[in-house]
Amino acid sequence: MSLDAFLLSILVDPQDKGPLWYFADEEMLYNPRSRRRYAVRDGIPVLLLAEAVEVDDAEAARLTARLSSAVVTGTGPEEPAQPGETCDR
Amino acid sequence: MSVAVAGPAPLRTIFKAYDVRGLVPDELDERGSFAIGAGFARFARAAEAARRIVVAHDMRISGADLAAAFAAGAESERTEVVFIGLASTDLLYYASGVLGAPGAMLTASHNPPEYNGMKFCLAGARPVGEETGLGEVLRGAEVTLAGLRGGIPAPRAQRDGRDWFGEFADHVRSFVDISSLVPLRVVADTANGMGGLVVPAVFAGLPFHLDLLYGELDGTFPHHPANPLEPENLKDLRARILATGADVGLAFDGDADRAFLVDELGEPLSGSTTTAIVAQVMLADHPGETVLHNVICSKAVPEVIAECGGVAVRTRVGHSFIKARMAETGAVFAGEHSGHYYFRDNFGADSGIIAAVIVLEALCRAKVPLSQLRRPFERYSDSGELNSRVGDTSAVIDAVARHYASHGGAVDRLDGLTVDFGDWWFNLRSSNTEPFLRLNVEAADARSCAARVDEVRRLVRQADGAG
Repeated sequence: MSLDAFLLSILVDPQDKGPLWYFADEEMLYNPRSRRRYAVRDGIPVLLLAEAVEVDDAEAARLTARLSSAVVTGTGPEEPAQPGETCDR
Repeated sequence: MSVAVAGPAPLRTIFKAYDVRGLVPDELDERGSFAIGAGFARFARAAEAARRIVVAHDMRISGADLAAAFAAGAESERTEVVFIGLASTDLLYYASGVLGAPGAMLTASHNPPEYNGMKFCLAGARPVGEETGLGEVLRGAEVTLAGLRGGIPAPRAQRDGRDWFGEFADHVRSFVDISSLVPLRVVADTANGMGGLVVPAVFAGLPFHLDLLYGELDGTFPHHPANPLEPENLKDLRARILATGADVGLAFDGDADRAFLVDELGEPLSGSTTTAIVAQVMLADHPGETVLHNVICSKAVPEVIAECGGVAVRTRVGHSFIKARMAETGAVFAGEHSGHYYFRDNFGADSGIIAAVIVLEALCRAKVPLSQLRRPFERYSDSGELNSRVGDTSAVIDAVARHYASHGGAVDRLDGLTVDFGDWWFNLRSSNTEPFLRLNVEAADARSCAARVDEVRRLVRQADGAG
């Protein structure tokens, strides 16, 4: 069960309040700055520092490497500008 | 397998339909630029296995630092950077075409000094817009930004030693027959933008007398904003033309990809008139070929194209639509009312200075002042673009379409609504970002044009009130 776009847009790391990487297939959220991972259980992100897992160098490298090959998805621009506009270019 | 970014999305608001534009440093700083550089490199590698990109920046105060950060971001993705340094946007497109490499231009076009941003292209100057990869660049940038800790590195790339300005100037001059040129007196107002480097480089090999106004590069735009679409910004150029008796004036925007012409009486030419003049020249050299014009261009444009034996193809407004249609139709040239002119022999990319030198050549050959040369191309009276605020733009457009369909107008929906009655026509388009409708009307003369503007606006108000 994947987290929906709205939920993703409001989630932040509980400690540094920064963004997280969401690996849907591994059911987890990851903070690449603090190298902490948080589980997503039954579609509910468990954003508790006490339950976070600090990853080692090899795991951090694996997750970073995944980004280079993965398709990065997201909600995209919320209000796309008019595709036809050129006057303000 | 997919990865998403959760949480704050500070870069999202600065990604527009075709480019990136934001306030420095609040919306766009060096960390953001680094992240976008990484996102673009990742996108370019996925799209066309690119291992090398070309990067340039304009004269904005933040330009050099943001460009360096962008280059470092691309290098962090193991992508080689050809770093041109200062350039105009059309020069960057040219470099992308020549190198066969994706490109990024750090510029905010004509926006105020506090802004900066980026325009992107794939190899061969192919467009990158909202529907052709900009979203992927953004998502890649968000991922990188989320992972940034501490400071960002300096780029490895040094400024490229190649004489890009000299090469680009040769390329621009290749569009004209220099032996046909006479020593016209030309005033160019480059508004302290990149035209200050490009225009003298191009004119150095031409027999014109160049009078350069505000040629020094200055990202604070001390004299006037670098937006020639605003008549206020043409005041100094017009005054200089009249004071010196110059033959023609050229006005460029900040990144010098758009050029506007002003005649010897100080009267600016519309984008439609310039499109028609360039179309005539291009068709003389390329008989029977296709020329594109957008739906807002004057009816005089397709008329001139047909009279010159060319095939006129109407397109939606906008950079990526035009470039896509150029590739499909093999068109030799395309023009937009907004001052963008695209050339097949320029990798299909737009360049204001190429259009400008083509009109100058036409002027030399015609041996008449520009105020006369323009006349046969100006056949109708137009309203210019008029914006009105309404509740539901598409409901209003539909109601107006229904009204005119029952009154015998030829209705088409290529871009918004166009209704043609033969002796007058209008186009009504919506803006997705704001509840605005944009109206353009063209009629036989100024009086009937004003009357038709009133008529369409009344219908818009009625439809809006009924909604």
